[in-house]
Amino acid sequence: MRTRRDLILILSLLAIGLLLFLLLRLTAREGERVAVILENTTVAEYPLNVDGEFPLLGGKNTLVIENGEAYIKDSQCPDHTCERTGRISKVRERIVCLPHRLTVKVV
Amino acid sequence: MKNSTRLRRMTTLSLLFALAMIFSFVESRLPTFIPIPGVKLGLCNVVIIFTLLSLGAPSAIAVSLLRVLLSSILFGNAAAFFYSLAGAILSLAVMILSKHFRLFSAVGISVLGGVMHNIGQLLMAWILLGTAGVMYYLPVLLIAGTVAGALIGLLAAYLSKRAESLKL
Repeated sequence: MRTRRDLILILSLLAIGLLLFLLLRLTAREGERVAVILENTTVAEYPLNVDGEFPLLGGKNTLVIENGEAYIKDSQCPDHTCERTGRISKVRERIVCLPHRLTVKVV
Repeated sequence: MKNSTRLRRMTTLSLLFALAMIFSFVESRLPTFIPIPGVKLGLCNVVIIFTLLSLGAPSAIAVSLLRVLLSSILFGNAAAFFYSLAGAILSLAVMILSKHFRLFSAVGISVLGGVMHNIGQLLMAWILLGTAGVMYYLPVLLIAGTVAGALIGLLAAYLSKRAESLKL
């Protein structure tokens, strides 16, 4: 009985997650620029159609824009999650560096 | 409570706490599969669920909160402490309730624990980063929490069954 409820719980959570994921994916469109957000204030914006390398937080992270996509190259944080997030280009996609309280978001 | 019983309980709890710390350490050294903040296996939850099932809610709360405190000091940073704490409190509360009302088996309890841990962290990120935008990660964290929770739950269920003969 409880095993059955477990299964229902697991399947419904997966279904909700998948549904929300698809919803976000299907409504995504290509973005025009990335916003660099520190805590909750936007400190800089870069257009995605201009290639370049931009040091953030005095060089603690390096933002790279290349072929309309943005990614973080070097981060002096302990987990490097932001580097491994990879490239973003669609509206609402984001790279988060929790140790530096930094978010790079496509707008 | 008799002295020997108390001593036994204290020893068991200390061992479980030590085990939780080892799992925390191992986990802090493991690379994550998905590069999204907050996605992890949650190995420690094996110990927390085991404690909850075999020793009850107060013991599970003690082991979990002490682990959050000590592992943040040893392997994390100040930010990690707040994220872990939010995740641990929400996850514990929901796991204790679902055990109390006998709604789910260990697997269901663990799935809820995993998902709630992620939701607690998201809520803390919302507070610390000051933006509801962190909810962007909710779908992925729901799926990751469910899968990791189910695996951890199977392990905890197996261990609890094996440990019945220990009469903790």
